[in-house]
Amino acid sequence: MSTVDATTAIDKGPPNDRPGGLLLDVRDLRITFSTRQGDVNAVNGVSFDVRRGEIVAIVGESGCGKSATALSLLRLIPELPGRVTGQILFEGDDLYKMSTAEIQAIRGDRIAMIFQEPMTSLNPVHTIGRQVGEPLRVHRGASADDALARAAELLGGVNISEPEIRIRNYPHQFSGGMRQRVTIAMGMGCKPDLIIADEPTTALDVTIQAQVLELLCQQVDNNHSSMLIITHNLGVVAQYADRVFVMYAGRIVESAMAHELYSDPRHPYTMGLLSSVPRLDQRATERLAEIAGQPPDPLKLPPGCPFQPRCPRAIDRCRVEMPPLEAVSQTHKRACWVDAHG
Amino acid sequence: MADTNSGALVEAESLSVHFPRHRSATRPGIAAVDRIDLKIHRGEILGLVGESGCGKSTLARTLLGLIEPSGGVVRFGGDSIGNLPERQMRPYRRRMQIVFQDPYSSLNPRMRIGETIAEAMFIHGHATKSDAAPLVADLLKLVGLDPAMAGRFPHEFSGGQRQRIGIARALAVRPEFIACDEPVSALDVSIQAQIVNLLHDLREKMGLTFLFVSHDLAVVRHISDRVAIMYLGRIVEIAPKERVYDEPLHPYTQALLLAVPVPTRTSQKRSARKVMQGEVPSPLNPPSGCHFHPRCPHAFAPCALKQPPLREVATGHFVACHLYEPQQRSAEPDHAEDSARREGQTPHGGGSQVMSTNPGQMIERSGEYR
Amino acid sequence: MAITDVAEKLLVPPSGGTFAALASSIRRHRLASVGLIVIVVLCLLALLAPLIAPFDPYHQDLYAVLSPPSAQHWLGTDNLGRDLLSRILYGARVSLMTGLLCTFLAAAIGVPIGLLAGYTGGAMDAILMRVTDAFLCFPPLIFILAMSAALGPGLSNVILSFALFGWTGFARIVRGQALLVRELPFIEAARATGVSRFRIMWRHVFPNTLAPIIVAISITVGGAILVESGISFLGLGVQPPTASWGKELRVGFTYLEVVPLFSLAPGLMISLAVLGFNFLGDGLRDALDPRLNGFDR
Repeated sequence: MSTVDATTAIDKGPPNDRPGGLLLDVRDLRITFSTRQGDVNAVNGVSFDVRRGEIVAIVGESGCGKSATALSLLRLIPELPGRVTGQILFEGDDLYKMSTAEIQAIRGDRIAMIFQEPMTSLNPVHTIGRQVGEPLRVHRGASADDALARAAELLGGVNISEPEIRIRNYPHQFSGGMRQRVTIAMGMGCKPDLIIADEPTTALDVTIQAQVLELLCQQVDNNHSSMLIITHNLGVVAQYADRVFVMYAGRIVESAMAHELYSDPRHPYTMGLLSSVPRLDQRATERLAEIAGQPPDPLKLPPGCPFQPRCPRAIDRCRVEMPPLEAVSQTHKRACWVDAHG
Repeated sequence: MADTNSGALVEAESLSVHFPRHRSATRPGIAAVDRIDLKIHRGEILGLVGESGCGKSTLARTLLGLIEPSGGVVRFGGDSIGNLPERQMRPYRRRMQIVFQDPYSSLNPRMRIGETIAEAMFIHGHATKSDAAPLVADLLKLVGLDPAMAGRFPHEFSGGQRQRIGIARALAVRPEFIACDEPVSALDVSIQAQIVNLLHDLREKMGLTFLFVSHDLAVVRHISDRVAIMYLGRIVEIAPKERVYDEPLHPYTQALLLAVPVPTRTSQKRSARKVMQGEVPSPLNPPSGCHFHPRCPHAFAPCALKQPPLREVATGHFVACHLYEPQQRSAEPDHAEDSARREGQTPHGGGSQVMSTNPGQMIERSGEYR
Repeated sequence: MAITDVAEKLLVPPSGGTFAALASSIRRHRLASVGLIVIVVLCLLALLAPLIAPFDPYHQDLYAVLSPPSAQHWLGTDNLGRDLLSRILYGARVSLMTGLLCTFLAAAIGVPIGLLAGYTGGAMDAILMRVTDAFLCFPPLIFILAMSAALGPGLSNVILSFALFGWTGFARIVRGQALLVRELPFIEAARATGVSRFRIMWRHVFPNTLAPIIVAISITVGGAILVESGISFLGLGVQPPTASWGKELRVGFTYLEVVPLFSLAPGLMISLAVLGFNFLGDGLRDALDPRLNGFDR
């Protein structure tokens, strides 16, 4: 099955090292896992880019391939069951053509990653200070004392009170929200060009989620970094993302500037998602709009468009042929045969 | 509440649940549920909202007799069931059920789903081995599954389908009351609406009474008649749905409502959201007085000293907040100053964060009730 | 989600029911397949011994004692002129049967104790586990020797005393798994439905402890065969004229310099059987390991 969404980025914009320049360019990314039941195409020809200073969101439900995409960017997909093809260009260099030493020099320094589970992404046997300072020691050759002093500064930067005392604490002495702030501080240590945040607030309480996300975006802006944020919740990124990519069953089905996507979604899946989320800003109706059916089994993807079995607008063509990602405006693309308006 | 016992199917009276800090500890434990009074009326859906660790799940399980209360009374249909031995509890088990958050671990992976559903029927004599099959099929149909799937194992189903099976199992004993513990929060967004709608339809069809536990105010609004907000083991506000969403009184309820992300975006520019600062304090060492006061933008003198009682401030609208104490009315206009004064103070309890609040934003909200 | 993923994988075989899944896991694991083949072949040989054995294992031919391998006696004869191959085939029945019986008896004692301790918890757990610890304090071989000496030599006493000791392993494994399983929501769901304790243990907890039990059984059988051989070697196991591998090894040992095959052949059989069961056990452990689920090896 060939996908046509592997087209080039819309326009190349200003040179690479200025705001708005191309930082990360992913072309025709495909990730396959071999399992006992057969090969699973977790990601199926995905192309997207992140520009300098930009916050880009990838939104999709579990199993849509968004987390595999995030992991593949740092070459963290285990090689044994996984196969990654396509190009991942970071400042023009293909990450998959680099040596192990080269990619390790980029991890944590130029590209940092923030994971979903603040409980497990910190090592319980090391102090907070040591862990936050670690990237500095690895990448900047900082001495242990310097790294610790800088760690305290970083913790202060993420609103942790009494950072000089807190650096001597262990992760279990921090609450979930605080741990996630610690991982943010850790990621920010080397002022990376790109932060990849995989569901950074999903494991947190509602009131803490907003706090942490706000802080994360602030830090990204302060450091003039870019961020790729992966989430399953369209609401979470609505106010923060510049551009949004919606994924379904390993493919990007819609991509647009955030305000376009939320005000004028063009793919039936995006529309379905937006209308099935209960919202506080609208009158409560008795029944929620729902997307019928179940998410597809990645082992048995339906023919044609993967959303077609659940799509209220599906036509015959959808059942046969995968629609390409086509532009509906300069910045808005969607993969759908039916010319739909939200 | 004006109603009498006759209207309440499930009732908690000064209900407390303490968990020991350590196996051998003699000190008083963590108060997961702290002297709660609650009535769930026949045929209503009560939403119970709070953040993790606030004791909402513990409260639900205690109402079902799955956890023994440390103090207070649980009544079901007027009978006290708090500390009944398992054998005497059995007749009540048939009348109340639970639906779990995690559709993956709440079904026995070694049992076919038909067996899981039928087991409940056998226990209470609703069916025998020979006539269970059609009953199971009916239940599966009722929850929107193909009856032909009864012979499959749980791992052959997706999360949403498993949650339907969990609901079918709960319905199998023909209960009067079902407690749903975060029934949709582990599901994909596109599936959540399906399950909420299913529960809604079931209530319409069967006249069941529900307790719907969730951390998501937006979901709760869709399904509940009344909503109770919990914070660190206490109910801070309880009112009919419209009032909670249109006129939230407790500052915590207001903060929760503000924290719900809204999937809209009008401007091209990113905009910062107004967010509440501070951590949820540890229930091991809750703040004095009103547990919320270290994070509260309106906190003033009595808040740190005295626990506010749950008082009825309008018909059916109860709130536990000193702002609404009759003698404190005069203090109300000073919120902004109170909170401004609080900034920079040392924190209380387990959270270490000093609040930096947005008094203006909170006042905006509070303008609605003044 | 992460925790439940683990729970999910821990409890659920990749596809179908338990046994279909186990079979497919074994097929994919090379070492396990080898182990399984060895065990199946040994079991077949034991079962079919009366049909395939060239001679009556008890028939003495005093004119041909300690004869070397020949066309007639493939492995030669023993010190009483009995056909060694036939003795080893018949010995397989005794050795394998003893190994299996010992293990199943031990499991039959250990599994319910572990279930009870793990699911009930509290004082019951503490008491049962201290008893288990007490049993673990004795060196098993010495105890079995003492038991056999006290009750008199004989296979049934060996089996009995092995079971009296071997159950502790099962109890601990099952208890650990039961502690894990009892926290899962489907147990609470069963309680909320009014399912009795006994039924919860039997229908809900026990099936979910099967995976480690199966692994333990496989490895214990190997150990039991070894113990039986040791006891027989010391003269306390099977009594003459019955053949068992340990017994043959013991007798052959005396004539090691004259006919090495007399002791080597039974020794080899013991090693094969023990290795087979251990391979299978290791393979099953890998196959049932949640972290490896879903990936080929």
